[in-house]
Amino acid sequence: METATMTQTQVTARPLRRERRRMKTAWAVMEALVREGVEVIFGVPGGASLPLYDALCDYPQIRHVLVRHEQCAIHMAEGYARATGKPGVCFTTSGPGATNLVTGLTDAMMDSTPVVAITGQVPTFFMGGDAFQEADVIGLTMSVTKHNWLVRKPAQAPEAVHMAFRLATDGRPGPTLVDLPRDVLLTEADFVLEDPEAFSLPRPRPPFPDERTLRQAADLIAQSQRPILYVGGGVIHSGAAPEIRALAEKARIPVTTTLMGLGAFPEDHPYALKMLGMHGTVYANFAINFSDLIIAVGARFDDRVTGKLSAFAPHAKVIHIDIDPAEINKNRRADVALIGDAKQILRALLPLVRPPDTEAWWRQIEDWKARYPLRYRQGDDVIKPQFAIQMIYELTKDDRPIVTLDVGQHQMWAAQFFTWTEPRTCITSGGLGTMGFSLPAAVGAQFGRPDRLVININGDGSFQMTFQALITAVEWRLPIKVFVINNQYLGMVRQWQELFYNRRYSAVYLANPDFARMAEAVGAAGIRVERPDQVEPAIRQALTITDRPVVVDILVDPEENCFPMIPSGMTVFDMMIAPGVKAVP
Amino acid sequence: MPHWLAVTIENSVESLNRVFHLLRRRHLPVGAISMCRTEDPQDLRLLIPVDPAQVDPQRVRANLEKLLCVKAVEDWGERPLVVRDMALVKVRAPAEAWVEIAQLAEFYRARIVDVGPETLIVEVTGSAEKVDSCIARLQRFGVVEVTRSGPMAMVRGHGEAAPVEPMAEAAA
Repeated sequence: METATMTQTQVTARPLRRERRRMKTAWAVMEALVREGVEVIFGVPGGASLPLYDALCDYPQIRHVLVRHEQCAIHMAEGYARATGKPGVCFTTSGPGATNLVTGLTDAMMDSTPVVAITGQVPTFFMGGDAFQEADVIGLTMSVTKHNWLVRKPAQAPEAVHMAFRLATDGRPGPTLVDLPRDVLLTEADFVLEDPEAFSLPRPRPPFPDERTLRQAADLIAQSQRPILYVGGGVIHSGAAPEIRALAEKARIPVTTTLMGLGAFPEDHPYALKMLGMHGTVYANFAINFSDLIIAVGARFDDRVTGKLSAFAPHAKVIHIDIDPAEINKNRRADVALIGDAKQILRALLPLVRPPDTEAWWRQIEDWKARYPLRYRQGDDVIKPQFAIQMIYELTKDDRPIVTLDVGQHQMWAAQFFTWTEPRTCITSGGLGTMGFSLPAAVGAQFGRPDRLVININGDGSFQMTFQALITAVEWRLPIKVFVINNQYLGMVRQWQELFYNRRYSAVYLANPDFARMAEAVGAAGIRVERPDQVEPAIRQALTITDRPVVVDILVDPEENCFPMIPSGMTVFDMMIAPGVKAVP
Repeated sequence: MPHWLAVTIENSVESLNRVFHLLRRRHLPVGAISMCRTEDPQDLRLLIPVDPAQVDPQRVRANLEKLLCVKAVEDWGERPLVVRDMALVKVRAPAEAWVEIAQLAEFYRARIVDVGPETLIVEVTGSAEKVDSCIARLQRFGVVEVTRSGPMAMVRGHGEAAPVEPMAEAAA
């Protein structure tokens, strides 16, 4: 209890500074978290992490959000991180608690999301002996974290926590994990509590690109006739959206973004080509494939972007701007590689840039835009999913919502039919494609940005994977708007079975419950929508509910397909705009 | 001709695991890795031969440099190296064969390091080709067992083996 009193004193006595104190390791961990500015932790307690939860009682300034499954905890941490740019934090116990994090850690690794996972572990004297709730968490998470630490001695604990925060946000962001055995957590020791600035990573960063390399890039831009900016999630991490816009405007270059890059360039700008890739716009895909210069910024030439790699943009030179040296030449050879933070590099590059002549290129692009707009046809009877999503956009856009998307058809339609204009407003699982990501991510985003309207657009399949996050949202009275685009299928899988597996539908029909009543059963509001004329009133009604989450279950055309589509491993010349209809450049 | 990466890591099983885990996870094709102690007992040095026809050595290096347990990656490229392999070869050796085996060993500057009732152990050191050749010659007598170190290597001369600056222009 003495420790607790001291802690309270400490909390009010900011700024924090270096000091020595005797306490149990669990309290030292909490001190490190406070010093890192942690305001909310998502988690579930258990045997091995009990000391941490005991210590938590003495730190009321850190809110703990109790989840119903650890996967929700880490997706919430991801949603918090993506909405705020600060690392999200989650707590679990050993064994199953920690193994339930693996999907989320992988997701964070793929999408470069900074999260710090703190896991309890069985006592050191049990480790390696198949103790109750023991799992080799370090081994299991080695390939899905930037680094992980097993703390064997009390003195290592604060440093491990601080280093986990440094590394999670350093360079290319990503997940880190600290594994804390229970006996270590309970050991009392003399700790030196430091300011976070006292901890730095041991290795130097790659040197900033030299003038000569920057000039090479500027020359390539000046000499190009058909340039394109290909912008990924790295631009959002870097905060480089203004610099992207400045470069596009200075050199009159069209901009396409990846799914992860949505919001990095305003899509209401005349230079925006919207999203590219498998379900990107026809004009973005034509533009990048017929370009003679790709300026890739914070993007990694993912297969969902390139299709068949050997046939992707065959005449284009590549300027690759990325903070991760291991991305250079990974998928596509770079003619000029600029390694470093996108914002700093673009700032250094901008004064050197001379506008190329892109008149003819723009005429070509405008032609593609006119011939191949995104489209769907809404009739009187059945709700088209695109219509529902467009209505959600139209009725909420003035509130500048933060939107979380799950994985599948609705994700692609939302990517297409929203007009994304602001970084950190589109939060979705891009690299791993984790169904069930979006509802807990919305909860995390709302904790991070209580000032903003948070919308979750979900699928009926994915909604059921992490439905329990709604219970947490109700508990905290979060006014999240959940729209379930309900086609009673695992829609994207059904689409592939229709198009590529001879309509042999296998395990894709979902015998769904009534989601509105499910929502009401846990204390949220529930609205069910079955006809096109009900869509707008239902969205308006949902927007008036501000004291709890609301689930709007929108029953849509079960067999609507998502187009355009470049089938997996194929090229832009195979891009379908309807079944059997290809786009022609 | 392999492109050599000399990777200094923390001397621990965990660090080794991290390096192997990474190479496997990224499906980076590398040759047989050998592991040596260095002048610093806290370090281990891994010698990783990379075939540039299969994978860009800079990609392997950039990935390794992301690991916190990796202290330095020296890119030895195709610099002149002293490369040594060592083998212990247990040969079936009735007394009448001793002289002949001893002569063969002398030819390879190998040494006989153990004499058993029916076997000899020959210690041979040198380039991989020399060690291969020696073992092949000893086959005639009947090789019972071979244990081999894998290559140990060092850049010739002084000062050239300093860590190269982290990759500045991968694509230049």
